[in-house]
Amino acid sequence: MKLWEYIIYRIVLAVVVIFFVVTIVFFISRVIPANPAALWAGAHPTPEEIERAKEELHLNDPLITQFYYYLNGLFHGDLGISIRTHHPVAEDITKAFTATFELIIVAEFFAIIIGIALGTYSAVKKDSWVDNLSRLFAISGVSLPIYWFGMVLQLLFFKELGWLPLSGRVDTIVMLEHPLHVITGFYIFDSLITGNWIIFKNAVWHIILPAITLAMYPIGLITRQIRSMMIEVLQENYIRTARAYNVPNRTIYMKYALKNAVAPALITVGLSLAYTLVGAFLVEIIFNWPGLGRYATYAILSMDYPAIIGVVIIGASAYVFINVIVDLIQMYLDPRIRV
Amino acid sequence: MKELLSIENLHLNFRTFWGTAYVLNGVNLKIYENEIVGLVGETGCGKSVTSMSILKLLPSNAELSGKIIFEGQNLLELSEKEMKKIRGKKISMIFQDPMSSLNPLFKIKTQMVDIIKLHHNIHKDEALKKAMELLKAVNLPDPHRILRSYPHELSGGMRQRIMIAMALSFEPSLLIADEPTTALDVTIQKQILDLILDLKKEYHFSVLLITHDLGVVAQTCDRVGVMYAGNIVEVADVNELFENPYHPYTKGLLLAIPDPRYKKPLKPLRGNVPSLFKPPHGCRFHPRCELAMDICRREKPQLIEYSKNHAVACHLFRRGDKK
Repeated sequence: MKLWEYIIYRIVLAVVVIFFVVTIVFFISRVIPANPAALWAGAHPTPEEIERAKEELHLNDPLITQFYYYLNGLFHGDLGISIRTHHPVAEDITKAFTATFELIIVAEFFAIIIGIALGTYSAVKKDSWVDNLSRLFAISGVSLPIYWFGMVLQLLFFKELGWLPLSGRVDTIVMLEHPLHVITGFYIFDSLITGNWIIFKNAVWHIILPAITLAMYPIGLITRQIRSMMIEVLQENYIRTARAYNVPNRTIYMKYALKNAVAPALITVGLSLAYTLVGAFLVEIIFNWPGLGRYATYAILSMDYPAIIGVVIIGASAYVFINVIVDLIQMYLDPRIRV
Repeated sequence: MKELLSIENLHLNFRTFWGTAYVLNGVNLKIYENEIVGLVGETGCGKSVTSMSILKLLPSNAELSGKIIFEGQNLLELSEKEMKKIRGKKISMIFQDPMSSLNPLFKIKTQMVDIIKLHHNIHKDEALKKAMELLKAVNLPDPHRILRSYPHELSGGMRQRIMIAMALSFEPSLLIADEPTTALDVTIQKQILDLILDLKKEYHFSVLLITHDLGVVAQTCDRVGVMYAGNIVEVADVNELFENPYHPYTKGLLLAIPDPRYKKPLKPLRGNVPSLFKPPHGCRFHPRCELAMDICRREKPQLIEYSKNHAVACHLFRRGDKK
C-alpha cells in the first residue's frame, strides 16, 4: 500500500466514524424530552407560535425524515440554525473553534516541550531529587482538578499579584482602540503578522493562565510516558552498543534514545490532545474564553441541539484527524511500521 | 608470546533491591597477543559480565575489585576519560544479538558514521568512505545499499557483519565477541566465525570469544577458559582441554555434548546452577560435584598451573602433586 492510499483509507474510515457519531448524537438529542420549539419561538410564546416553530424546525416530521434533512444540510456544509443564538451553527462554531484551537495549540506546545524535557531528564537522572520532584509534578498534573487549579491561578496571579488578567481572550477596550484585522481568527498569529503589537501583547497576556491550566494534565501525562519509555530504551542493546563506542551521552540521550522513546509516546500525545479538547470545556468557562467549550456548554444548557450536534461533529472530526496525524508522524519516525 | 590482557582476581558484586549478588568471585584469565581465547560456561556463570567489566560498561550498582591489566595499565584505575581512549578503539566488542544491537530507527549510515567521525575526528564524507571500506572488509555485497538501509531490512548475518565492521573501525588489539553466533543459523554461524578468523589474520588482533557452544570453541579457539558460577575453573589449550579435562565440571560439560557416533544417553550434570545471592562456601561447584571432599566445603580452590599450559582450580589437583 502506498502512502497516499493509506491516507485515503484513513479518511474514508474517518468519514464512516463521523457518520456514526452524527447518527448517535442526532437520535439521542431527539429522544430527550425537551421543547426546543418553545425556545425557538422566543420569550412567552403562544401555543400558535410554538406550533409554527415546530413546523419551521420540521419537528412534526418523522424522525427519519428529520435525519434526512439534517444529513442533506450537513452535506452542504450547513449545520442548521442555532436555537439559542439564531445564527448558523457553522458560523458560530468556526468563530469559537479558532479561539479554542489557539488555546489548545499553545497549551499542547508547552506540554510537549516541557513533558519531553522533563521526562528525558528524569529518566537520565533516575531517582535523583530532580526526578522525584518532576514525578511529583507530573502526578500533580494528572490528578489536580482543572477547575480548582484554574481558580487557584486566578487568585494568585490576578487577585494577589495582579500580574495577569482574570479572564477573556483580549481586553475589549484595547480591542476597540486598536482594531485587529482578523485573517485566520488566531489573535496571536493575526496580530503578529499585521504588526499590531498592543493586541499581540494583550492576547499573549490573556492566554497564559488558561493555557497553563489546560497544559497541566498533558504535561503530567507526557512526562510520565516519556520517562518510562526512556528508562526502558536506555536498557536496550543498541544503547549498549553506542556506549561501547563512546558515543557521547548527549548524542545517546537526545538522538538515539529519544527518538525510540518518542515514537511510542506519540500515542499519549494524541490522547492528551483529545483530552485538552475536553478540558477546554472547563477552562473556557472559568476563564470566560469565547471558545468551543463555552459555546457547547451553553448549547447543552439550553438544549440547542443543532449546536450540540455541530460541536460533537467538530470534536469527533478533530479527534479522528489528530489520530491520523499521530499515525503519520509515527510512520515517519519508525521505518518498521511504514506501509 | 606477549601478554595483552590480564584479569587478576576480579570480583564483581551487584547491589540490588533483593540483596547483593556475588557475580564474579576472583576471575583470573590472561590473553596473549594474536590468539583466540574462548570463555565457556552455562548461562549466568558470569561470562558476559566479565567482558563488560573489561570495557567498564556495567550498571551503576556494580562493585568491581581486582585488576584488569591491559597494555601495562590497570583499566579499573582509569578515569572515564582515559577509558574512552581504550573502549571502542583498542578494545572493541560485538554482541550476542545483532537484531537488537543496532538502533532500529536509524540508518546504518548514521550509526556507522557517528562512531567513525567521533574517533577519527574526520569529516562526514570521509567517514562515509571509511564505512564503505569497512563494509567491504567484512565481505558485505553492495555497501551503498546497506548504508542506506535500516537494520530491519537486513538479515541477522548481515547485521552481525555490520557489527564486526564497526568493531574494526579503529583496528583494535582486542576484540571481545560475546556469543556472536548464538542468534544465527548454523550456516551463517560458520561464515561469521570464518570471517572473524580471517580478519584476525589480517588485522592481528586477539579475540576473547564468549560462548556456551563447545563446538564453536573447538573450531576456532587456541585456548579455552571454563567458567562456573563466577570462577574460572580450568584454562587449557583447546585440544588438551577436550582430550584431558581435569575439573569435574569440565568433564561433566564434555559428557553433556551429544555425540552422533554413539547413540549413548547424555549424562547431564546433576543439580542446578547455585544462586549468586547465596553462593555455596568453599568451591562453588561442590554441591553438584560427585567427588566433593571436606575441604571443598571450606576452602576455595586456587587456579594453579597443574601441568604445562593447563591450569585448574580444584582441590583434587594440588600444587606439587604429579599425576
